[in-house]
Amino acid sequence: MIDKPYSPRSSKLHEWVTTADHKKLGVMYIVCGIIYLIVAGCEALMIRWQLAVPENDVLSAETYNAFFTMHGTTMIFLVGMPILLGAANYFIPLMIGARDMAFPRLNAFGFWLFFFGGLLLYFSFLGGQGLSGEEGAPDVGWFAYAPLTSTTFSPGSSTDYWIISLFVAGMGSIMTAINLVTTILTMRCKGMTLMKMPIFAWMMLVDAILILIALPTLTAIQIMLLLDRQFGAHFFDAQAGADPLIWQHLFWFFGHPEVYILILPGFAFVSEVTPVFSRKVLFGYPLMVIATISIGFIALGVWAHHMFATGLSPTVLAYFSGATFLIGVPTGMKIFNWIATLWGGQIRFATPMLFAVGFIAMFTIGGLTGIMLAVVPMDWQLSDTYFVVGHFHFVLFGGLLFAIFSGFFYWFPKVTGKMLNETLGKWQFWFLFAGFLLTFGPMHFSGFEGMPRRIYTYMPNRGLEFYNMLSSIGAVVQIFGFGLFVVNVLHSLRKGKPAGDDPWDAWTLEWSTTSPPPPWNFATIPSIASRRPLWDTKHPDDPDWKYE
Amino acid sequence: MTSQPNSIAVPKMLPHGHVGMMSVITTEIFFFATLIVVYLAYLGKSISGPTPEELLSIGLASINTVALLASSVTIILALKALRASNQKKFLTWLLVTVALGAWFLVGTAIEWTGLVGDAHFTLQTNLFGSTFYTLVGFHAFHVTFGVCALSFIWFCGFMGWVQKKHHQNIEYVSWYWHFVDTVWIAVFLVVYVIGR
Amino acid sequence: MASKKKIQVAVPAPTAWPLVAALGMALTFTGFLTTWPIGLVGFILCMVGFVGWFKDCYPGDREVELEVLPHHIPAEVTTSRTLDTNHPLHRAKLPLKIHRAPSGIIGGIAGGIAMIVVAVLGSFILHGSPWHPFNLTAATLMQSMAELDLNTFHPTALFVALGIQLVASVCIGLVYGVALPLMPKHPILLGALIMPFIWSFLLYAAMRTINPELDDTVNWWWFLVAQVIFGLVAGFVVSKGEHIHTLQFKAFAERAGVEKNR
Repeated sequence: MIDKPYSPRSSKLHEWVTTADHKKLGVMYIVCGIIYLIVAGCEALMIRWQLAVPENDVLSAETYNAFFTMHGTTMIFLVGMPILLGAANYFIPLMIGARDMAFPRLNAFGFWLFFFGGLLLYFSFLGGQGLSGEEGAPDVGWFAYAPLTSTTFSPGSSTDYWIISLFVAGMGSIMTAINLVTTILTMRCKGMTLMKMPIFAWMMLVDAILILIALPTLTAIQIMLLLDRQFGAHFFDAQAGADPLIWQHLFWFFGHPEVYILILPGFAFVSEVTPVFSRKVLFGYPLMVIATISIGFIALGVWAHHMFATGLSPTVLAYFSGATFLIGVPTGMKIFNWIATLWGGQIRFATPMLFAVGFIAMFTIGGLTGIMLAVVPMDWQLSDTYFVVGHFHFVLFGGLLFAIFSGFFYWFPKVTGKMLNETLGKWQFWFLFAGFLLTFGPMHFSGFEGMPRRIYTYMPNRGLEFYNMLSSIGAVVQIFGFGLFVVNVLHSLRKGKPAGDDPWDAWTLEWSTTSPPPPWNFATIPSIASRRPLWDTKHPDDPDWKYE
Repeated sequence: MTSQPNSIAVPKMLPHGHVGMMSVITTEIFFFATLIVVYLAYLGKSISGPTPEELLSIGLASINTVALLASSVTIILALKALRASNQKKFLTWLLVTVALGAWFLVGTAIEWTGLVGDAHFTLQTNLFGSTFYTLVGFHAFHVTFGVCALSFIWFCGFMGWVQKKHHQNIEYVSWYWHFVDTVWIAVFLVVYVIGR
Repeated sequence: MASKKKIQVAVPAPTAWPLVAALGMALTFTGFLTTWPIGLVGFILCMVGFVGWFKDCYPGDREVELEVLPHHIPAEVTTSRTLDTNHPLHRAKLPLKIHRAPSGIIGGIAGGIAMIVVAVLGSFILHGSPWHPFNLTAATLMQSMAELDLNTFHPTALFVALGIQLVASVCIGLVYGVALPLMPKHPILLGALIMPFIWSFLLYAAMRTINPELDDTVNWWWFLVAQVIFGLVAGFVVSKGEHIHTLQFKAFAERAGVEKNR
């Protein structure tokens, strides 16, 4: 059934909220993600302000709890997830030569579920108070361990808002994952066999499958928790014979794959950026695919390494420690593949490349501290200290966020038709890099000195002041980095240099259409013969398909 | 384009609905797996009674099981009739499927009325109550959803809106229905056979 | 493509129903926490949204046809780069040359022996006994060493220490064998000085936390000298070893050893 074209009277806002176009939805995901990034960043700044000196009283203990909970929850569910889903949404159809996602309306549904889920989470600042007169936002930590979440210890409705907002947003993620799997498996253009897909599509495919497997577990236990809190069930009530550790097991069965759900898109961005700016083909493509799939499998079997300190049996400890070491192998393979891609290439240190190299270095450090934590006795010593905080910020900030910025600088010209300012971008990188190291490096040391995470203050003369002050100074340095980013985006949107269709001389299909792409992506559906279709077009005398 | 080889492989790809429904079923499997794992983990952990042995009767549940399993067969027959363009037979078998699904729901309702009314056994009674009502309840919710969807399809078929060309879409719905059946077999085994 | 006829492409029609359904679903759950009317409104909205959505898809997907305008047509895909396809290294895979595996093992063993000599020398100067470094090395594995005198001869300790030294030297030698030809320049500088400095510092920094007791008995300056000597000797031996081409330009049959060409 064919409708009339857009009526000229319809407004821009109307056009955006009613869209079923994967590109507009992708942009909305990413814009929401960046707004929440700023919000959650401000929460983190408050945390660092409170911890800058011992016995500080900027935040009360209760507000501090709410802030670190909201910081973690927001960063994972409202920053990481939407940015990765948005990027997948925008670029998967473009990269595999399709006109839209498989289910465009389901795509819109998924986005709006995420959108309203996010609003519900932040509504808790106001709404949490409504019913029982208790303080606002959720304050039970982002993994909300039982029995802290029972009505006895967490009265009011803030925890309920945590449950339903993540429940609604999680359903949205599942819808989008269904869409991504279907799109990648059924809508590839002519010639694009699975082993000729851009590595981006492979990583997003594994990512979406992990979402399909991991998120329903979270949904199920959140329903149980809601039943406990609202309808008097006993799922996590130790007095009725229940085992609160069940929550930890099931939460981490979701939570650990979630970490890989977040980092795999980071791998995907870097795997696209690195070859283009080294002028070399990605080293070891088949190995990269195998590594991605094995990460997907192993990620489902390592969850209890978050629980080494809960008194598991030695057999269980040995298994989960071993499995955690094992996951280092495919991850290490990837790191070596990226380094081998860089090696001997004609490297251009444009901003996307700076961030990509920053990612490789910082993620390696985060990965190595992860291996340290996989050693059971080491984990007993360091569990729930700032060492762990330092470790996962190296993975998620130095890893994921750097990869996101790398991808953002790389694809911004495609999405908007304007280049971002390179000078500002480089300044942003160095501010962020320095600020990042200054903030999260010392956390490893304060963790070694025994500073537990999630405490709102600490005593003087325990050897913690220096490290905490360093971390807080680092947070201030980061403000400049993020500030430059916002300035750069706003400035470039208006006055940026026109990008042209293919500003980086790249090789995947999205660069063969206009910037920004037309609503239908490709007027003629392309057909490809190798993993670098644009290389074949640009160098007809030496095409890749002869060698693959 | 001159830069391409003479023949380009056209990858064989499945229809959207096929992969989409398989993804839905994958995610649902893990949802129910979580509920079942929790049920098993808490089996016999309740501090106070009643226990599954005292409350659950295998008789009623068996009749329900037969109804639901039969509905899986009838939906296959309905689909077969649709593919043969036999509209009347399609509608009849579909109606039988809906009726069997409704029978299952009524059976569950009778069981629950007995449990809540006579035995005063609710979600709040003990750990067994929490896990039992959640597991069986979520399955029943999925059956309800399936019955609604199938009734809707029946209505559309009655109005003449469903034709042979839609057979693939109806087949995807039937997969969902088979999935709900399979989950019931697991739930039945866990709750009524192993759990007692 | 260049015809003057207007070209139109169909894309999915804009629709608000998924938005309505999502809002309804969010409100339904909010109803659990606030008051039931909100939940009811949400549920109704949700149903309305799904019905509207269904109408978007039945009897066929609603689409709009958009016109292809000049600015929608991409420029031709070109590049300013030119390739020298005749260059012998075109499409070469790095590295071009590698060391044979045995050269790494030999280098490692040579470095290990040199390191023992330096360590024993140091032990004589500092402790007046050659056995101190052996006992100390063995102590990293054997807890019982903590009670013994580090300057006397213990046969077990000697055996264990030599074993550790052999395994570690061969492993690092193998790494050198793989890694040194990959370095752009000055392989000996990197292998002999930079790497030993880095791992000595890491060990120095970590040992304070991991095993403070062991930390106290180690003379770190002498330790560093021993490591550097290891790196120098191992690096030298490895880089003097035979350089061979990788088989990347050979045909598969040749690589598999089925066929031989000269």
